[in-house]
Amino acid sequence: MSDKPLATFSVVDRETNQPTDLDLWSPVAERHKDHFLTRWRPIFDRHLDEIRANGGNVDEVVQLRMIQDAHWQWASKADAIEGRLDWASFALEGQGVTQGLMFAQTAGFAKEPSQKGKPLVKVVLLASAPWNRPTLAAVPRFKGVGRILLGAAISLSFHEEFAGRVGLHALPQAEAWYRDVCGMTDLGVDGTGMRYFETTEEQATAFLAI
Amino acid sequence: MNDKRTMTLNLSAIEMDIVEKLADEKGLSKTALVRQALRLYQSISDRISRGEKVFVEDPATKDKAELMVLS
Repeated sequence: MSDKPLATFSVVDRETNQPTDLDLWSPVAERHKDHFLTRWRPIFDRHLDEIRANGGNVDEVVQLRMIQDAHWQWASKADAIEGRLDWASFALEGQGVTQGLMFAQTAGFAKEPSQKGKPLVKVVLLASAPWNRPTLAAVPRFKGVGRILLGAAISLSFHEEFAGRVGLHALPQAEAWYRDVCGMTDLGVDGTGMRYFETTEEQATAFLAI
Repeated sequence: MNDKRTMTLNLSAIEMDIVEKLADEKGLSKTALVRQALRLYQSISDRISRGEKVFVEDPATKDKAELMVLS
């Protein structure tokens, strides 16, 4: 476990309007797993309880509130990949709390025709803390957590000589963000039932340049 | 990201040819290729150690063949 962050980003805390440092850590540490269980999970559970109590289409409301990841087992996943060379984990931490989490695989292969078969980083899980989500908080605390984490995946890809190639399956509400804001190539819905996106070297370079 | 250590790797001519061919195809240095190979080997080996099976599938016929790791 590293004793210093990989990088630090200055982001505006929209509650106080003050710049705040967010530290990027890799791998995920015990405290990051604890934050998910003690800080994130209760908020997700409160929303899920409310959705169930209100009746109606639970899946639809879960999607509207963008909490499909509420069931993700971050802590056990982090334990399972410890010592694995084909996985990398990242946590973005600010104000003493985990603001975002990401797990990525470093043994994937690209599908986009111009780079098919070449190695890439596959983002498997990426999430920002519930208080940073516009669907859960009236004033999302930190904007840009997802962008910083995706940037970390692209940087990892360059570090591993994968030329910035990154692939991921997007949740439905994030599809437009990956395609239109991040500039990733949309390769359509695949066998997983989810839409798959990939960056080429040019797209990755452009993303990091912004 | 991690501290690096150096080792000397002795390969036969044909093994080196394959390393160079794959590195060229994948756009990697030989070091990065070997690191990638190690990741994949560990991933497959871990799965088989847990009692899982690893298959390759023909995309056209959907025929599956089990990947055998003889170690």
